Amino acid sequence: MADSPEALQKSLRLYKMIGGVLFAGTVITVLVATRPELDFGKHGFDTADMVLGLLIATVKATLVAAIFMHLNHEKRMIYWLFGFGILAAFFLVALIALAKWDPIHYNGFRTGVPGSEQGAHW
Amino acid sequence: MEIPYIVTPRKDTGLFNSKIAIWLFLASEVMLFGGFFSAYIFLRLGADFPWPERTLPVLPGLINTFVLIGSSVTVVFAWAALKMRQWGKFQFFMSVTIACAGIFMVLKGIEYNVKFHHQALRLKDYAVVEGHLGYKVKDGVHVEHGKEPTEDQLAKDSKGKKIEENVVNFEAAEISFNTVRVESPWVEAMIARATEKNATIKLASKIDLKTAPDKVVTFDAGTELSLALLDSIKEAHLAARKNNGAVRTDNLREQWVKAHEANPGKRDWELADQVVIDTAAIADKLMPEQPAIIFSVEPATTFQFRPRDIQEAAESGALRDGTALKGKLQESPMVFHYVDAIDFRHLVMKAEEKGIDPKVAIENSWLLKENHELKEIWEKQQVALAQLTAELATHERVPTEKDKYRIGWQEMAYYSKTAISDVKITPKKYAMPKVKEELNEEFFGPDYKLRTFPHLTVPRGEVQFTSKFAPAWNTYYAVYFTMTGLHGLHVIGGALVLAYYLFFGKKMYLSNPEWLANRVEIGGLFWHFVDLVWIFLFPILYLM
Repeated sequence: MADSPEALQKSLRLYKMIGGVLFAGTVITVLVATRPELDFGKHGFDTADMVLGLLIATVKATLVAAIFMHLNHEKRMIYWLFGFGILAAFFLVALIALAKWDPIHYNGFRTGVPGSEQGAHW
Repeated sequence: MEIPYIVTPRKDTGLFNSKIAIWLFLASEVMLFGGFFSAYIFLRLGADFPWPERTLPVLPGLINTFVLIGSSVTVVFAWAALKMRQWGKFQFFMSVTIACAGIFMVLKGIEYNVKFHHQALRLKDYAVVEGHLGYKVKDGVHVEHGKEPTEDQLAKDSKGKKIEENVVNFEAAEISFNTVRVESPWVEAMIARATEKNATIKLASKIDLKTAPDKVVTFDAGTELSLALLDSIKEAHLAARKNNGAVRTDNLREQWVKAHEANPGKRDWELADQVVIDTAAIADKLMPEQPAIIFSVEPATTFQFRPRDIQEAAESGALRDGTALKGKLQESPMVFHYVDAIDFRHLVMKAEEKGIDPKVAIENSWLLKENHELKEIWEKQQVALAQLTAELATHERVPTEKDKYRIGWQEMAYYSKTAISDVKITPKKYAMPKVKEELNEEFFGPDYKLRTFPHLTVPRGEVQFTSKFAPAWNTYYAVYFTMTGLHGLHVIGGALVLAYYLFFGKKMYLSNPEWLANRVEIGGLFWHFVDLVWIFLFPILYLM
């Protein structure tokens, strides 16, 4: 991490540049999402828009984490701590996904128990 | 006592202690927000209604994104200023950071406020209407068509608030309160309404209760309804219940003892169906209970209830607190002063499930059959849709479901002021025609002084569900408010910590500037995390 005044001054230039990239990334995301003539993929919101939007967001988030939060030159322990948090979050999402795509799942909440009155509404 | 490793790093970790602490905290935050993001994903994938994509106003969200990115830059500049021992610059950059937090929260507040005042209605046929409700005028007041009622002409509730035209009117001749559970403000509102209508709500018959075996309390028939009266009856009723419970328990114990004496060696479960309370033996020890208190309303008076508070039928009603009404349900239409959007996507979804042609379903919807203004607007929308379909076809594209089945407020305003022969899409825009928003409309929604929108009266029988654009409306809004609300709390918390460094950090700066720099770095790390979360929230909630 920069500590000397010269190194800090150099870092400040980098921070400004990253700030500019983040602004630009945001503008691109919004233009692509709101201007039909700049729309990717099919007309309107679709998978291509989602992938592009999340890709830009991921790049922006990576820049914030790497440069502003100094993760590009941190101690190993920080990588372990933060990396574990991210992995745990993904693991928990995967657990829910297992339930969501379980082939033998109970669908009664939406369709109602067969023969019951509740089912007739859906 | 000196706190170790606040400036110098520990040898084993290579870090000062608070840095490890903040990263541990941020790791737990990742899991917290990860949970909400996963909830969002699964709610969206499993939604049984058309997900309201790209429904939030983009400009406030965009400004907030710029504001947070800007504040991420300034907070790191503030930290660098401290490292270079430039107190003045630190103050400047930190002040800008905190100001950014303020701007963010103000914009978020405006956004929430607009949502909480915007009405949504799902009809029985699944057509959705959005807009603003009118306010009830006082009984007997007539407002000329096309004119707005004055403040004096508007009816007010018992708290002096204007009443939206979304109430259930019930003419009650008899009200039966649940003795134990009564919602006091509703009782007060009933008393106020009866007073306003020169009616009285009186105890229908005499009630004799005992608060102790030898103490009788009498409530005479004809006593006027008051909270104090209900409280007194409740007190006596609860005293009786307490006594009766004890008497029954004692008797049951005796019965068990007798059963065991008569059947030595038998187990409890073998005796259970023989052991019953001897009601004859305890009859004289029991005190009268009064689970419900019946009042008569003379003359029968129309009370107004919020739809979510009452389950109504033609001759009866039940409030959420257990109060039962007898009388006559009055006409209780829901009146939209302005309909600023209609949406048939849910109706189409339901029609397709049943194998019905969406166009036929829409043509037969209650909205188009009963409201000629909306019917005309729909016909104009069909003209524009045909033009858009033709234009998109040249690029081998097709209109979206939103283009086809939703008329948003900008489009509604355009159709309202445009003759059907003049409806035209703008070439090469690849969008349905709409009015250009004024700057204030980007934040606050349509300016009703500037725009014209249809009125709509919906009979209560056509209403399936109604809500403001609040968490109750659908799971999109539930998850939107949860995630942005939690994020907003983080913004407030982070700003408070940074403000503490700004306003109370001078002493530490003078004594140990490196310690303060480390503290600001920790606060800054949290602030960057808040920015990082928003970087995902903005596109997901506003643009997808």
